[in-house]
Amino acid sequence: MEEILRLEKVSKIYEPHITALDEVSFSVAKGEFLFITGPSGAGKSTLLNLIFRAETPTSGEIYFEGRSLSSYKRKEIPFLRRKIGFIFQDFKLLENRTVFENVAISLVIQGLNEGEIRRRVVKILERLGLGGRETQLVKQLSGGEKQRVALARAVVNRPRLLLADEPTGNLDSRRTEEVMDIFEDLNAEGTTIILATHDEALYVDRHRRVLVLDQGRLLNP
Amino acid sequence: MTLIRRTWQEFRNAPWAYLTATLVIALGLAVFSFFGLVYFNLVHFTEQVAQELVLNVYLNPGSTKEEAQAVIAELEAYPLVAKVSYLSAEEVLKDLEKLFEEKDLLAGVSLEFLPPVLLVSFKDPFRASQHLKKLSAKIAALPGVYKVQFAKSWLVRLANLKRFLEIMSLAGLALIGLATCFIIALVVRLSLSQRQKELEVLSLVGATPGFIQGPIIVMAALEGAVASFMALCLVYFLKFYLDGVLRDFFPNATGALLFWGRTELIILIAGVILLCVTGSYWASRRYLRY
Repeated sequence: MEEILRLEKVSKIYEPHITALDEVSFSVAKGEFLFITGPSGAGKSTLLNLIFRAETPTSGEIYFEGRSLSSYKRKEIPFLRRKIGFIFQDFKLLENRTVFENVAISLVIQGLNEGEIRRRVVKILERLGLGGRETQLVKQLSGGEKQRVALARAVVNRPRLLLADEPTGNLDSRRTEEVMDIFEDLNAEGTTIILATHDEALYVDRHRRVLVLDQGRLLNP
Repeated sequence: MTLIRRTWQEFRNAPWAYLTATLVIALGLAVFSFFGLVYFNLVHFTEQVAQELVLNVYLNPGSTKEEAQAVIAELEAYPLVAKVSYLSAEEVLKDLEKLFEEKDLLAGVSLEFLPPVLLVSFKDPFRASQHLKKLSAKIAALPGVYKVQFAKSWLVRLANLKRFLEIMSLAGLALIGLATCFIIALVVRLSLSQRQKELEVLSLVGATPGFIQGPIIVMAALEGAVASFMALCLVYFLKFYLDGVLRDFFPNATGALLFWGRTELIILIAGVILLCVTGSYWASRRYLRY
């Protein structure tokens, strides 16, 4: 199967001597739905940040669609990020902007026309149960609703790879199931997904590959 | 979306931050440009006073017009000389009559004993003062010249005063200029730091640096231009007011205070715009996550 991502002996050391990741190697096939799990501080978020090129590894190499991330120049990074959706653990939403504006950002930066932006944003919001909330300010939303806005922003521009860092951390069991169904749907449509979670309930019985990280080391490469 | 629309959106996102920053920059700049004007006017004033100090060349009483012309030609050949005025013995007598109220004092003075005078003014009196001794000795040796006199002590005092004013004003101006630059840089940085998260999010969702920084830089340029305009208008009205005050103090004064010339205005405005733009560029760059 064609691979979309490959990590080769990737390490990340924060000065002076905190090893967040220690020679992690694995690859991800196109269309795969991969779980990364492990206790808090295992290195899950660091790993996703490295794949997203929000940080750079201390050593080792990461390849996305066959190209080394270290070969990307500063001006090329935005175009890389348009191919990778990221649902951040702390959402990274603009609290004083509306739901619509937050989701539309991903499309506005690509220069899409207003009609197309409106059509796609409304469609994804409806799909995520946020229809009719377009004009509401994000700061007025609950934690679960913010989570779904973050998810909408990450997938609205149809990324090839979706990274999700604890995407159900603020949701109750019903909303968690709904969000996981959306991930399954996106995956069925061809989006590759890497989901980092410490919640075992998310991946049991799903028959997906699960990588376990502990103290920066991959326990089941 | 065009850059203009995005710039308008940028302003709408943080209107108070931009308006406050513009006002603070305008006030800082007004202080700087006002003290700049004080400096230029003081230096100009000393130069004006120095212009009035002239070299007096007394010709032999009864000198012919040809002898006077030869001395005038010699003086005019000197590059620092601005103007040579000839006062005949009759005009000298008239001046003396104006000077002394006691008419009897001049009753016995014959025109034959009064020397005609050449009044020499200089383009740059302070520079000329360094050469006056040599020049006066040369002129004194010319045929027909009786005596050469100049107010060197006054010129030296004025030159020293001008130098003192230059050092004090320039040092003060440099300090105010540095403070103004610091204020502008700080205000620009603070107004952007409020939007750190927004810039970070934009860079994380795939916006290019040009997309994020373009409107910020245009807004910074506008901020600098508007602040400069406001500051210069304020200083101009202050100068206008001071002109009136000075006329009340010195009723015989004819000139007005100097204002910035076109070149200085362009340099000042361009400098502020450049400072705002570079400040905004580097401040916003800090928050981009690439």
